[in-house]
Amino acid sequence: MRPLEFCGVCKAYGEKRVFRDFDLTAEPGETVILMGKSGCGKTTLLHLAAGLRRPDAGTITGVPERIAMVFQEDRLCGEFSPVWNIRLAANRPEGEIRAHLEELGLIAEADCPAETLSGGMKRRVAVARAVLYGGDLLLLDEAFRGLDGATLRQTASYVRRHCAGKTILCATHDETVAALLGGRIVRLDAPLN
Amino acid sequence: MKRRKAAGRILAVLLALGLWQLAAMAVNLPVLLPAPHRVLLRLGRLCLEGTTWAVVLRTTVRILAGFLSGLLLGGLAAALALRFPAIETLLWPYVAAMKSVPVASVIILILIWCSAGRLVPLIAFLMAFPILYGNLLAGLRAADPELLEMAELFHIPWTRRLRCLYLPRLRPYLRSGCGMAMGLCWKAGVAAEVIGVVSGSIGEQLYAAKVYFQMADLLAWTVLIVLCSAVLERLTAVLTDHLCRRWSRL
Repeated sequence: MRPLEFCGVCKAYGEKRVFRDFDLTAEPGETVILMGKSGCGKTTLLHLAAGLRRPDAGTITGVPERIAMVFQEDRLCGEFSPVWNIRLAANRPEGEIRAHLEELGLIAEADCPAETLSGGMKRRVAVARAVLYGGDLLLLDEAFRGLDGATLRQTASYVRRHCAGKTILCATHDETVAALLGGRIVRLDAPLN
Repeated sequence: MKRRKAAGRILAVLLALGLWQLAAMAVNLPVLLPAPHRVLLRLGRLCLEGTTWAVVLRTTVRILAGFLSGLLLGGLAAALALRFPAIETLLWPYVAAMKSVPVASVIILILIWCSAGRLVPLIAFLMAFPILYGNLLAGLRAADPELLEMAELFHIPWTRRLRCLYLPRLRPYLRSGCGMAMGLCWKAGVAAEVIGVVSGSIGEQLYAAKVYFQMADLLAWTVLIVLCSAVLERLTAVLTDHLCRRWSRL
């Protein structure tokens, strides 16, 4: 597996430049924590890695075929259950999905419509979906937002357990998340203008 | 609340029937305006005749053929217009013409160009297509772009995307479109049958009632048309809902 490399990446939204000649390398199996203030480009960086946005200049290499992502928004189908939502993306046996939901303390809510779950529960369903999808690169965009202390520890340990050996890029502004996930911290500057 | 509304509606219908009865008594000419009970009696007799149902069935089949073609082609055109926006622009003049040209003109044109047998399905299609195409396109566009982006990233197959991401959003649009289109298909379809004097159709019966000045027959057939249209509208809505729910399961 090749390292994930951002070389001289530039990205702007209209007049607002987010990155100019940005370089970053994530070795295979490495966890990189992207930290910085809101609007500094953490989400943009993850979207560039996922191929959801294109850089204006520069190259991104070493992106694997299968990428799993926890988006900043939950992106769940509200009227359907967590089991259904996970099965939609990660075509895994139902028993395995339920076992993962149990690990995350969500087994009682496994068949409830996602729209009836709390914010923290929805985040955990999105995390389980990304973990169960598999792939060699896991992108976490504020994946642990809204989780209380114990649940945060439980979810971070779940991710570490199931994603050992995978490259992880995690955007957060929470030092606790960085400490729980471990890995190298990269601090992003504020937007360039 | 629902019961109150239903009771209110029943009262309104009874009041309308009362007004009709009063008007019939004032006119006192059953050949011009028969009383409601006469129409009901005639309707009862019509329902007992086997030929009535053969006539109703023929008209229903013709209207359904047009409606279903409108649904199929409307759905296909909407899917293509979503994928290739140029298709929407290309279809615009046809859709605008179908919406704005008077039905009577279209009926006469079709009668000149085709046989009367093809008239009703064609008219029903021309009524259904623009409504269903417009509604289905709006429904497809209502799909959540964030969920579609998620589907792209997770490589969800397009059949699953269609069933699980598009269909749940499409359902209300499909339901209202089908209801509206079905109602219009009946109205325009029967009008076409009357103008074209299509043999063995409800329209022919209405035409005969008009020629022989049989007002009770005319009104009884009208009630039957309204009932058929309402039943099919309801059936379409229930079926659409049921199928959408069933297909959007994994």
